[in-house]
Amino acid sequence: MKGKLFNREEVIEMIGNGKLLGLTGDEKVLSGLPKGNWIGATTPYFVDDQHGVFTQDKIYVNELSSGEQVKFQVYDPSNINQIVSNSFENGYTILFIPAFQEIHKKYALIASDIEGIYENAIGGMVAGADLNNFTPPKVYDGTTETVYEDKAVAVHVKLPEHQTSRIEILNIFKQNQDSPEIQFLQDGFECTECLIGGQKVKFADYIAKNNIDIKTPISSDYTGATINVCFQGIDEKTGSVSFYGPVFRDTVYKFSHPVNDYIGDFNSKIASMNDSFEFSCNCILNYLYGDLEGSKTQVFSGPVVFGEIGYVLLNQTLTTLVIDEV
Amino acid sequence: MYAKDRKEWKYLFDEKKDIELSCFPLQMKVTKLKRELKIESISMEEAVNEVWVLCQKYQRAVKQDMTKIFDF
Repeated sequence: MKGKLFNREEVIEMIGNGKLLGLTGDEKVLSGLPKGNWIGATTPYFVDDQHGVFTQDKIYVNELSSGEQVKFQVYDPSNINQIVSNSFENGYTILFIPAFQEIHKKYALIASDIEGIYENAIGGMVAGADLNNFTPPKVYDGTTETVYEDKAVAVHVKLPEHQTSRIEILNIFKQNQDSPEIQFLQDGFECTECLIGGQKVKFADYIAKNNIDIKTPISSDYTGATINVCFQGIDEKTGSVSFYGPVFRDTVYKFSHPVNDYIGDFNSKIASMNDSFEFSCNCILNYLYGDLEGSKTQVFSGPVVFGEIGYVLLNQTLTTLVIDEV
Repeated sequence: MYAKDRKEWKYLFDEKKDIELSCFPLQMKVTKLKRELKIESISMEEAVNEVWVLCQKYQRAVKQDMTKIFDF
């Protein structure tokens, strides 16, 4: 079901009612919430109903289907590979990860290799913070009232046999088919050299020489799904190009077409998506580059995050977790 | 659901056919299996079995993709 922004007092009442909740909000408003069946993650950016909103006073609430059984789990880099084996045979998982920590990088690098990763939905988000006053992103396990800066929290839900869960995505970027192929020499979040059209080049030099706009991601084709990797920046001194998501050596990437009308492009594609979802989030880069704050939009409702989890770590992609009746 | 022994399942892993899918978990799963086939860490039979099991589970969500594969 769709979520909404609520006042802290209203959220405390919902927690008291024993509901299973996914909560997102600024650290100031999430900290000190009472014990209950909830997990939380920090971000002060949202789209609520029709507008992009920055708020440090409200909490975005996703009331989650509790299915037949629920278990909460905390993950660190040493056990995040157990996320599928810890989940139910038929169910879904909501995973909240703090940005820029080892757990974030580890999950991003290994998720696609985890056995059974695509058999039940794993949705969630990478927690962030106010970009103008950045503090370490945090996630919360409401069952123990514990806050983490370096661990991830998950809720695993068992669904009845008549339901299944899956992830849907909406990516407004398209690969530029005229782009040369880009291949990386190793897996990771940064590179100095790569192969472009089969030739080894310094990626930063290539970007500068060809006037590439690094607000537009590179992307790869996953049998029809376009998966973005966004540029984080270029270190002029070292020539290192960094990314918000990992690049993989065995994957072929291309540059993407730039998007000029984020809201228009989202609106034109949104009709094809299932509008009854458990959890939804969109990327801070879409919010910033698309100038969503205060803009009237019908594109989606949900937290604006520092990385979307749709089985794997996604970048600049509207991501929803859907439950289907079989 | 189409029988597991139908030859069309193998089309999913045929680079020449280049079938574009629309169901996200199926897209991701097929891409993973293509990579595993490329490095021969699984056999074609295992790949077909894994994708068939996934499609069994998501029968409604993969309906459009099944039509595309089996009408190819």
